[in-house]
Amino acid sequence: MDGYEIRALRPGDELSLLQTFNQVFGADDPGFQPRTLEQWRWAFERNPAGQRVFVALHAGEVVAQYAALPVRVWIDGGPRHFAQIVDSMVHPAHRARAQRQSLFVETARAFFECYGGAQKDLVHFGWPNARALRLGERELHYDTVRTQLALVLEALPAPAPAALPEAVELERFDLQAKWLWDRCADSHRASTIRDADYWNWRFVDHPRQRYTRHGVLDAAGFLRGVCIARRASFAQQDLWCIADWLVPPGETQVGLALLAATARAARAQGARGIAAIVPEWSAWFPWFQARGFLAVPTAYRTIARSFHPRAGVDWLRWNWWYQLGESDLV
Amino acid sequence: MIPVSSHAAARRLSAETILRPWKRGDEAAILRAHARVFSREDPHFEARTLQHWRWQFERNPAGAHILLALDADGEVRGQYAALRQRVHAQQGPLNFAQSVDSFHARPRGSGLARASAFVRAGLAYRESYCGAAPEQDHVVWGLANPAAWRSGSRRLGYEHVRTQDLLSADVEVLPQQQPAGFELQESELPPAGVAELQARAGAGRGLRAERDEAWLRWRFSEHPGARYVFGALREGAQLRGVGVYRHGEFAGRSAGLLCDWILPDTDQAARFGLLAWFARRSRASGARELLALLPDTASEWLQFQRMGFCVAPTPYVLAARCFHPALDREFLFQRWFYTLGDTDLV
Repeated sequence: MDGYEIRALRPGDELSLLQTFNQVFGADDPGFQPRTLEQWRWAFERNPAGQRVFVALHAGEVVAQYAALPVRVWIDGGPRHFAQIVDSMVHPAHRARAQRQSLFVETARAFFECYGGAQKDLVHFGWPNARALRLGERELHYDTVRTQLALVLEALPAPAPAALPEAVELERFDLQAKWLWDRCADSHRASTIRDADYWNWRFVDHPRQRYTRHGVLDAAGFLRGVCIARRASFAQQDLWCIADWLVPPGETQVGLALLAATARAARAQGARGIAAIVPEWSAWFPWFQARGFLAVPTAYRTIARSFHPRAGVDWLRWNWWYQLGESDLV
Repeated sequence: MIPVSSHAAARRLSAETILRPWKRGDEAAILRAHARVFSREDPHFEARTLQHWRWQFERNPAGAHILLALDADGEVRGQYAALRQRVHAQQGPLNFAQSVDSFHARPRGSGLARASAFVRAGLAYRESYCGAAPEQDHVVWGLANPAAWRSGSRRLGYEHVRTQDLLSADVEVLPQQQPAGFELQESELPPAGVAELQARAGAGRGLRAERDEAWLRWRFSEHPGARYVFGALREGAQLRGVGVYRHGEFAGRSAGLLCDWILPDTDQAARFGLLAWFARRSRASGARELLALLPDTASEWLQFQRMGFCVAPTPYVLAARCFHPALDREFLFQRWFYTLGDTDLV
């Protein structure tokens, strides 16, 4: 496009990018807290799965961005990357006008060309707002995986009986994270590899949010299950949102212990209830409902752009395990 | 009776194949092709009878449209067919058309994505029948299985309105006691007063397909392959709610089916009373669970869960394409109330 340079992010672009980001996202949101350079570096420089950022520059300034947070995913027996589309924007002075191509669309197309493909990122996904959804469906091959339900427990449960295994708070994750995920992976045909690198980056080292991380350890000290949550507004105001839940199938005592522990934390933090997202095909979907969670519609569509027919949206709907923590919603 | 529409002109698809609306005499060829296609996909498929076809397409009080792709021998190579529904809305009367039995009689092993006869019949259907004019189809919709969805979304502009889940309940956990002051009468025919009830019920529902006596009689009482029971809930002389029950299969489960649900959104007492009847009816027919298909935006969605229903997935996506400027996918998602009875699945 005339006068614009569209390319992958380079060192030195950060401050201009942040300035535009804070201007765009602060414009319509009175509660917006400007993003700091430290927060940006956490998200886009320290992600153990890499960086996916394309920018458009005009007169040396970043005026548009199409970006994603990649995750390493185990899919049908091998490791690949998916990436969550986040923070896409165009400076108001550079938005599409009649007779002009959309800078947003052009930046996005360059992004997909660079990062998406059968041998590159297999799936780009996200939870776009209404405007980005319309544009993405029309121009960028966004497709709906599902209209997203949330599981919501509207009243916190009474304390659990003492016979349950004990759940403890976890400071950081180590090798055992991956061992636990290995035990769960057979029940998920596609899921983000939950290892220490991912969990520590996403939930321990987050520069703004504090997550409560509960684990159940067996007598030998091995990790049997994990529940990570924080107070946030998703689906309803002021809920204790489970950002990640990893318990091997059938280990319901571990699940009960984690649910009891996270409910205690929710109560201590003053949350009104508990929320989670669990794919409907999972055995945990009826399990949570049996414990009083309601399946509540949300304003969100889980969308994806797939770069391989074997990972199309129908397949993803029935095989992809994802959690709120793979979104930027909590 | 509004006959199957056949006013659109014929056009040639290739040297051997033409596209045109159904006309009298095509029935046998349609049924042959239907059996050929669906018996491949469903080992339990039972060939549709001419009686069933006539009921479904000729006797629907709201009408139907069928577009066929026929070869030189008069055999059906593709069909795009839809059952029409009159829908009440703030925007005025609307026509919805449920796409059913659309197919491509393709060679074994080829997929719907290459089913050009199906797609071209669908495109011709759109050109012939869809638009914003009062007599046209304003929304074409269906509960699409994955193969139909893939083809329809790529070639025919279907949009994903909702990932369709179902509600299921163990009948033993549901309330079975009739609330005091209510009386429940069962019948095989629509109860008197149902049109007036629907007028009251529809007011709070946004979009709701018409439930007049003619439609209910056609859809449930005259169905050639299944037996449905109406339950009419009255308080004194006033009809407070109507339900339609059937025991059958849906989404691979044999269960009691909540096929229709006609009552005002705000009538909580009637809601409890009618649900209690469904629970009793399910138990009496030997069903262990009761299934319902409702939009997750309906008030019943959460209330049913609070009364013991659980949500479970189905293979279906509620797919639609809007042809009226006042309608779009989000409006359908938020405001359209439907039940299993709106579909051809039970």
